[in-house]
Amino acid sequence: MAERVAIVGVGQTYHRSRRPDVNQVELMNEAVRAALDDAQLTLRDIDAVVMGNMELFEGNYLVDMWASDGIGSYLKPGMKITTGGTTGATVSCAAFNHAASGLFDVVLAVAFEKQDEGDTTAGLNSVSDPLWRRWIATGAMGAFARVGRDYIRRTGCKEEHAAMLRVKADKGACRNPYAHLKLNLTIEDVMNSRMLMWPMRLLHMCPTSVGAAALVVASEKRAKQITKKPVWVKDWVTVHEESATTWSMVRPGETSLEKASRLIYQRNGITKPAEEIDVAEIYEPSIWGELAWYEQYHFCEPGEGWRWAEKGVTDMEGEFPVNPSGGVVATNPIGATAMIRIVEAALQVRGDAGEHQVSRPVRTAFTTAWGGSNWTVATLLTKSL
Amino acid sequence: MRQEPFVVPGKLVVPYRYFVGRLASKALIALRDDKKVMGVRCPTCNLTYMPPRSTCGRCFSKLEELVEVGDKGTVLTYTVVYHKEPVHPMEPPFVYGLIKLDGADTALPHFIGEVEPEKVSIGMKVQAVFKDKREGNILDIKYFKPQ
Amino acid sequence: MTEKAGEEFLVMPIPLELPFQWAAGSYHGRTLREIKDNNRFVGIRCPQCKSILFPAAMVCPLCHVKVGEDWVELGEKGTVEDFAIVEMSVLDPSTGKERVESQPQAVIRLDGGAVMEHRLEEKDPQKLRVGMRVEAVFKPEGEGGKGDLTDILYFRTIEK
Repeated sequence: MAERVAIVGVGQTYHRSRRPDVNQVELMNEAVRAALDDAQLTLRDIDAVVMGNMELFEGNYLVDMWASDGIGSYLKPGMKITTGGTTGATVSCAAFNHAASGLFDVVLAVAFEKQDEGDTTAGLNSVSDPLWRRWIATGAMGAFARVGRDYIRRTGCKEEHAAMLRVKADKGACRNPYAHLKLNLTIEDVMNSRMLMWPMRLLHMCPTSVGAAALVVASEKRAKQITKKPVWVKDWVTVHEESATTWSMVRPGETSLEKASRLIYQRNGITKPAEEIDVAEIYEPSIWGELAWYEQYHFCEPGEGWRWAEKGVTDMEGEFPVNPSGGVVATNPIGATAMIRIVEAALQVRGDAGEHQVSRPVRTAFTTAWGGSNWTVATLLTKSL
Repeated sequence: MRQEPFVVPGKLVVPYRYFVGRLASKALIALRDDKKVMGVRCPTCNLTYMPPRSTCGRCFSKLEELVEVGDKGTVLTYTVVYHKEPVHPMEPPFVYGLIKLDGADTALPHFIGEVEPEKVSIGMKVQAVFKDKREGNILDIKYFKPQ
Repeated sequence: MTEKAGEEFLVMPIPLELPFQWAAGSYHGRTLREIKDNNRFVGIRCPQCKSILFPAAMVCPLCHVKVGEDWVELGEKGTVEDFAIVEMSVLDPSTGKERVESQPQAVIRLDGGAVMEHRLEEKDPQKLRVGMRVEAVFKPEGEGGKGDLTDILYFRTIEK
C-alpha cells in the first residue's frame, strides 16, 4: 500500500439497553467527540468521514443523509458502509483504505446501533433469503445454537466449558467501564439460565445493546505528529463465503474465519499465532462462537478449544488473552461491535485499557469480525512499525 | 424449457420506534403543552436551527440553547400535489411548503392550508394552525395558513 | 448519559409495512414450481464439482461455472443431520407477529444428496436423534400451495 496507517484516536459510548435521552445522530456524536478528544484533534483536522450501521435494526434507511452534523461529515468527503455484523470492521477498513491511498491524511470512522428502536431478531431474519430461509429463521440464536451442537458432537465438549468462557467474559466486562452486561456470574448462573434452543442458553447469547464507537486514523507522517502512541494498523483483510454454499450447507474446504486469519498470518510471517500475538479481540455474538472458533482462527488445534477453557489459557492473566473487554457476549451494539474490537485492541497496544489491561505485554493485537453472509474481517495492530 | 417467471409476493412488517433525544424532546414538549415553536441557537455561527439539532454542522459546537422562533413565517418555496398516492397524508390537491419561521434561519417542511393552491406564492406570510389534541410531534402543527 | 428523574423523553412509533415482489429467477423458480405443482424436490448438478445445488442455481457457488440443465430429482426421504427444539419465539418480519416454533427444526439430507432446513412432526425429545429417517409431508391438495417451503407441512418419521 502507498501509505502506512495508524490509529491515533479511539472513542466509544457507554453501552446500555436503552438510551431514550439521545437520538441516533446524538449517539454517534458522543463517540465522535470521544475519539476526537482522545486524538486531541478538532473536526477541522479531519479530511474524510466514513460511517455505518445495520439499518434493519432501526428501520430508517440512509441515516448518513441526515446525520452529517452529528458525525461531522458536513461538506466533507466520505461514505456509508453496511455489512451486517462486520459493519464496524468494514467501516474501519474503509478508513484505513482512505488513509493508505494517500488521498486523505486524517480520517474519522464512526459506527453505531440503537437497538432500542427496533426488533433485532426480526431485523436479522429479514437478512435471510425471503423465499428460502425467512419462514424458519431464528436469527443469530439459531445459527449459534447450531455452531454449539456441531462443536459438542465433534469434540466431546461439555456445557460447562461454554459457561467457563462466559464467566471469563463477564470478569472482563466487570472491569470495563464501557461494557453493557456486568453480572458477576458464576458457572451455575450460566448453566441455569433459560434454555433458548439446545445448547443455547440466554446467558450464552449477546445482549441487544445501544452504543457507538469511533476511530481517528492517520497516515504515517501525520500520525507521528498527532500522537506519541500511534497504534499501527499493520494489515487488514476481508474474506467472503458464498452465501449459497451456506444455504445448501455444502461445506467449502475452508471457512471465511479460517481463510481471513490464515491470510493475515501468512502475509505477516506469523506461524504460531497464540505465541506471536499478545491479545485477541474476536467477534463472538455467542460464547459458543468463541469456543468453536479458537481453532478456526488457528489459535489452537482442532477440538482443543474446550481444553483451553478448562486451563484458562485465554483469561486476562492467561498465556493468550482473548476478549479482555468482555467481548461481544457482554456488549453488542451491532453496527459498532466490530469497531469496538479494534478500539479495545488499540487500547491494549497503547497500554491504556486500565483495569482490563492484560498481564502479558502487548506489542501485537489481532481482531476479527464476523457476520452477514458469513464473512470475516481480520486486522493486525502493532506497537511499532 | 422456458417458463413464466416465478414471482412471490411478500411483505416486510416490523414495528419500529424513534427516540427523539433530550433536546428535541424539550422542543416538542413545548409545542405539545404550550403551542410554542422552538428552534436551537448556535452562538458561534449566530444561526437558529428549526428543526432543532444538538450539534451545529458548520462549527461542530454542542447546541443547547432552545429559543422560541414563533408561529409566523414566510413561504420560501412550495409545490402543489395533484395526483393521489398511498404515501400522501391527505387527499389531493394539497400544498407542501418550505417555511422559514420568523425567528429561525432554516426552513421547515410543512403543509399550507386554508388557501386555494393557485393563490399560494413565494414570500407569502403564513401562520401555524395547531391541532387541538397534540401528541408531541411536528404534526401538532396541522398546517400553515395565510396571515 | 445522565437521565434526570422525571425527565420526559419522546418516542415516535414507526410501524413499517412494505410490500415486495420477489422474483425467484428461472432456476430457483423451477425448484419452487416443482414443489408447488408436483410436490417434489429437484436440484441441479454442477458439471464440474458434481455438487447438487438445491435450490437450483444458474452458477455453482463453489466452481463459478454455469451449471447447464442436469436436473436431478432428490426424493422426499432423507436423514436428520441436526435438530433443535426451539424454546423461544421470534418476531417474524414477514408478518410483524411473534412466531412460535412449536415443532422441532431440523437439517435434513435428502437421499438425492441435497440438504434443507425444515420442521419435524415428532416433538418427543426422547424420539429425536441425529440419523433418524424422515420423509416430507406436503399440504393436501387444494390447501393453497404457494410455491415455497411452507408447502411442506413437516417431515415425519419413517417407521422401520
